[in-house]
Amino acid sequence: MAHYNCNQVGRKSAKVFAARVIAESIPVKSVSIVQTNRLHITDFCRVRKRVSVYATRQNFLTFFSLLSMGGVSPATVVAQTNLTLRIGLVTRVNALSSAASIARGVQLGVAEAQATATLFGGSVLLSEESVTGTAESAAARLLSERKVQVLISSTAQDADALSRFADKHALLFFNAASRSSTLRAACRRHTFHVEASDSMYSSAMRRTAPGADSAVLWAPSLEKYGASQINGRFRTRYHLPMDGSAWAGWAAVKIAAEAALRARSTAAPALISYLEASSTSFDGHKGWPLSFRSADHQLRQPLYVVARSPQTAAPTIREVPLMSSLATAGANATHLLEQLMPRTRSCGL
Amino acid sequence: MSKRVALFATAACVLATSARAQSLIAVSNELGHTVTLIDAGTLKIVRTIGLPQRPRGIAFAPGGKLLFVALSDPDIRRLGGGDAIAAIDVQRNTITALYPAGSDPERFAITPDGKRMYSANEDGNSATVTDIASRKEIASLIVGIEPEGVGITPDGRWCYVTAETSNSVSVIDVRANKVVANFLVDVRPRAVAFSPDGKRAYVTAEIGGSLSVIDTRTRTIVKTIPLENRQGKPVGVAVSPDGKWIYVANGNAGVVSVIDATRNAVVGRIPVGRRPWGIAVSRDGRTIYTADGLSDTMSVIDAATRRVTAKVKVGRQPWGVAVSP
Repeated sequence: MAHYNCNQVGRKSAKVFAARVIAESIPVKSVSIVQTNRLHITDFCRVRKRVSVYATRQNFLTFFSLLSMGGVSPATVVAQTNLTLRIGLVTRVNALSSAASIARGVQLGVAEAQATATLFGGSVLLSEESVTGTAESAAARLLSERKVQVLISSTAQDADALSRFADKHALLFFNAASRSSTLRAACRRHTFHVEASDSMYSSAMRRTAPGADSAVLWAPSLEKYGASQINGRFRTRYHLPMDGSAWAGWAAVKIAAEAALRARSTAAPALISYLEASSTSFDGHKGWPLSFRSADHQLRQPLYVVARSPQTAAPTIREVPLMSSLATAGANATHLLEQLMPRTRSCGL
Repeated sequence: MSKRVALFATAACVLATSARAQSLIAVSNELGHTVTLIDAGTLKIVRTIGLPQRPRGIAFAPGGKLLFVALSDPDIRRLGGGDAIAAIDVQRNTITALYPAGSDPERFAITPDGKRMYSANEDGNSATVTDIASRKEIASLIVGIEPEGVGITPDGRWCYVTAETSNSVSVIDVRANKVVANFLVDVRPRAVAFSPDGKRAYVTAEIGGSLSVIDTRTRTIVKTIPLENRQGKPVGVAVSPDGKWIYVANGNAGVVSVIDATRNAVVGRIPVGRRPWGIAVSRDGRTIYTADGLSDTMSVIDAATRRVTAKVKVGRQPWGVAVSP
């Protein structure tokens, strides 16, 4: 901890001040500064004569909030996490359009997760790597050069290789692309499936009246439970509708970043135990609390069945299961959502 | 600009009769594009105010002369030119001001001195501070993503803003108009209310299905109370004037949870209409009101017996309810 007198700081910008903090290796705990070029230490000096600085060398954030508080409150120190979550997205050139959708969802997810992390003195960073040789070598580059703690694949074809890589190197792999039952039957500890499985999609179709066209993970016309807000944010950013793949990419990042923030860790064992806990739930703007089945790490979530009718211009969308089923006595969200999910025997289910 | 003029004119025409000094209950009807004013004593509808926009967040300013209502474009996917927070003079029956409040304004709070308004800009990650007299925006503050609930401590010192996507609560220093702290609460926080002594904040979490009790001094969660088996989708929250009871409207369950504030435990459940979101308590603490969105009613609950004593038919899809001071 170091004390700076306002006369010493003078009218220097916070950027200069921040550089000095780094240069002098001040062992600090809670302050970090983003957008240093916009901050001026003199703003603070008008209020207080003496500045107590707590900061980390690697993270320079919310200095602003401390300035405005006129000191460091214990609550703020507790709330600060100083975590940096690094996410690696493995892409391919000439992949299916769903890969581009996943990448857009991931990018929006990272922008939003970064905004949230900033409130708590943390940070969420994205690195993208295109597969040139094998998926493993792309992942290895992300690990060695970017030190990623989380991997996401934009294609189904690389999901199995990245899932294996994650187990081998003890980092997390979020599957936003593959519906494969084989991948789920591998029951890998470091893999979490945000995309629904093939059998979940067919199960959703079986549960609806004939005439349904398809089952999807998400629809750009959904409105309730904050769906119109996230659909709107996606549309504003990309001028495209948010489809199921985009939602999967966005949700994978949201879940990973929330887990890190809540578990106060980016280490795989801490993240896994948070993700597996029965008390953990996530909001994917679907209205239902989303959670992972601990045995096979499949996300419990509703799907949407789309039916097109020649009479109406817009397709009708029906959620499966229906939210109204949750209001009946004795209903349980976990059990209702698991009705869509066949048991993966090899995972001990 | 023309839309604003039109809104002013329409509302001025509709507000035809003069108001008497009385305790009023105001209900915003989102689909009906109206506000229903109800006499708290007789439960008779005093009048219905027609509005060209979707009204949602609703609150009386201190003194009870002005009623503030958040208005959004009818098409929720469209950024509406008519999005604003309107101030309605209840006695003179006119809209006295339209405050710009970003797009799709939902919830807001007014400082106890009636001078400033804090509103959440749901489609961004900011909260707007507006000077009510000059109608000028005096600050825009970064909070969590999809800000929703706004509450000001009874002493007017702090403003709490919840954010649905970030699961966060941002604490704004009202004197400095700066965010001084952020903390996490349960999943998808919605509304916030304070105990009369300001020592506790109560935040509902819609997906978490709980009420977080927060120590406002340390800004930490004292307890997270699960409601309705965590599946009730709690939204609105109100505290009795003596601070002893907390009432939460569970939208999906159609139930009001009664929480004992001393023990932080659920002590009662009161079935009301379908999808209650807005909730308010009378000044004497004897009556609780809910806006039942899918029943088009306002439920009236006797706080002592914890039973619904009346259901008042209001407009289409009631959203919020406020009681005049």
